Amino acid sequence: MWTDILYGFKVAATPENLLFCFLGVLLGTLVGVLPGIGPAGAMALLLPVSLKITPVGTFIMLSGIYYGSMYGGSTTSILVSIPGEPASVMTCVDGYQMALKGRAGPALGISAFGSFIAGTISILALMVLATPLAKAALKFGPPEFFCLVLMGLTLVTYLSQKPAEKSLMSALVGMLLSWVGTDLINGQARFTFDIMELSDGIGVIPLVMGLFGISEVFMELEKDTRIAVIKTRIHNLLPTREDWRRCAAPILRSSALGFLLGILPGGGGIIANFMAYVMEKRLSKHPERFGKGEIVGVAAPESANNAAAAGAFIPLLSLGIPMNATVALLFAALVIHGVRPGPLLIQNNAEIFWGIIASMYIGNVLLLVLNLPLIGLWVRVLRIPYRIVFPMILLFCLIGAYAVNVSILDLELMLCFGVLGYLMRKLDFDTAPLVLAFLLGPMMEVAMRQSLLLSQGSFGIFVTRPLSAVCLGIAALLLLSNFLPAIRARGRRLAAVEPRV
Amino acid sequence: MSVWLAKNNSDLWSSLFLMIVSGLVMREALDLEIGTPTNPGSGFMVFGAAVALGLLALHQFITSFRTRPRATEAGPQRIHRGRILAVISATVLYILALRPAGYLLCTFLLLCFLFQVLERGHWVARTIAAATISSVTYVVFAKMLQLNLPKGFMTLY
Repeated sequence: MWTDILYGFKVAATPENLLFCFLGVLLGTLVGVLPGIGPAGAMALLLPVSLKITPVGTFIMLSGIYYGSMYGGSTTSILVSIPGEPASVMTCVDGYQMALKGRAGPALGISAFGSFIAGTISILALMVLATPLAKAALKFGPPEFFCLVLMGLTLVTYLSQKPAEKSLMSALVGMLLSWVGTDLINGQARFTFDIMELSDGIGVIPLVMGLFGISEVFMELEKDTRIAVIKTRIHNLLPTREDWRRCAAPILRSSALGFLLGILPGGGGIIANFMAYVMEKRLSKHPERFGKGEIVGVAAPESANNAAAAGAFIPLLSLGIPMNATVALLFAALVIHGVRPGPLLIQNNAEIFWGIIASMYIGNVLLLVLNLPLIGLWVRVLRIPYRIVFPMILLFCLIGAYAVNVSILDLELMLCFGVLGYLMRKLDFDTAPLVLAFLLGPMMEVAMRQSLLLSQGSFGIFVTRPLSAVCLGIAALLLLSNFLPAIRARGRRLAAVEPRV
Repeated sequence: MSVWLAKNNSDLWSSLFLMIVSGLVMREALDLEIGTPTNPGSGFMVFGAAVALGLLALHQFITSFRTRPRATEAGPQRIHRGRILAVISATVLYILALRPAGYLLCTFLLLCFLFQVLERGHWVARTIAAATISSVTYVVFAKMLQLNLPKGFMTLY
């Protein structure tokens, strides 16, 4: 393994890849700092530009945006009490209180150091776990893949912050959209409405740019966005010895928790951030200090969201299954470059696998450098007027969607998906299951049809194989748990109405 | 009643819309040929997904009648729906005019409009900002990154 990681450093340390790593973490910090545009939106904007870059460079840069945004999100949470991105929600609680008490410096410092430590630990875990998991995945057949993807999608809808029923519908719409175009098995055109450009299907770029970029602009346009940055001198960024003593164990615990939650479908940084805060509050001898500027309340959630970011790479790199919307964009970027993420990635594209792991070590160091000495710059970025930021996001989306295929249809589709994304958010639908299902839909369909061909039409193939049976069982349990409370409540209502005999 | 209309109608209309979509997709899947489990056709999975979507939408439709309306929260912020409609209309016009008029002119006009909609400032500053951004993005994307952006009337020169 050590020779592999050395090879990874050789790949990541080329001047070109170092530049992409730097650009990625810089942009990640920037989008993390700016409320409104998240890592998914930023990655969607860069997908068309990434076509001019090598697959390794693309993956290094886009990954940098992902984990870099976790660092940047804390700055806004601490100084403005608005999470720069959703995975920093809990950091606002104690971070802002610390800033009000004149301790913005140590809050920013411990969040950067905590993120660095958690990031490094979870990259080590990623390195150790991804290879054996990929080897195991090589033994998977179509039934296992179908059930694994089905379980992943069900978990995503189960863990979604929106109603499960709506998330399921969102995933089904994503699947239906993914099947537009030529059938991969028999070449028949589906839902193309005699439009030649649709025979290749709906492009991932217009879809994600519309759902994440354009809809975000619409959401922000409808309200008056004014940011009031706290007026405090930021000094003493290095935490004191006492701060370290209190935060060391919570950082380690939250790193482990975040990493595990990151592996789960739909988990990601948001749940990790929240769970780490709750866990530390429960374990603390002084839970009453939480919410009043407790430094552990900043260190724990910030460590957890960074660990989760690295954890989310495991299912992507070893199984080829993205478990959250942001990672789904990394998946899309690789697919656009003709690289198939999955168990064979380590064998066939070792430079990408080991290059990305090595670049994450480098990126973590760069982020520490970017976040501590340059904190003043990020505070100034927060003061950029939104009347400049939003037109720019819209413009980049338009350029990006048009430039890939030089297609007006892509622009029209992007605008439609932008409106769809806006309406979905307003109507309490989650857009992440739609994107995940859109990316996994073709894979699911092929696996399902191949499984049925293998079994000569018997659906029993999904329950007779142990792994597929387990995945299917978990998916069924999750689905039932979504609907059972509603069924039980209905039963109670009926029992209350029926006259007793 | 008015509260019910305000809050539950969104679920009611979205479920109705999804039921219609599901019905249309099911019809298309039947045309595509569903096939049999031994030899699944192009419409096999499509039909299954459309049925599941239809059932979930029906469940939501029924639930929307039963759910007690939640009181609408009066937010402190004003919601600018007009701005969104204006931006959508401007973007539609931009898309229609992009090829004939070219990137530079369309982008300049779109940015002028967006700056005006988002925050009214001095028109000279807005015009300079729009001209600078459209020119710089053209140089970066079309010249440096070699992306294909429409030249429009500029092809005459």
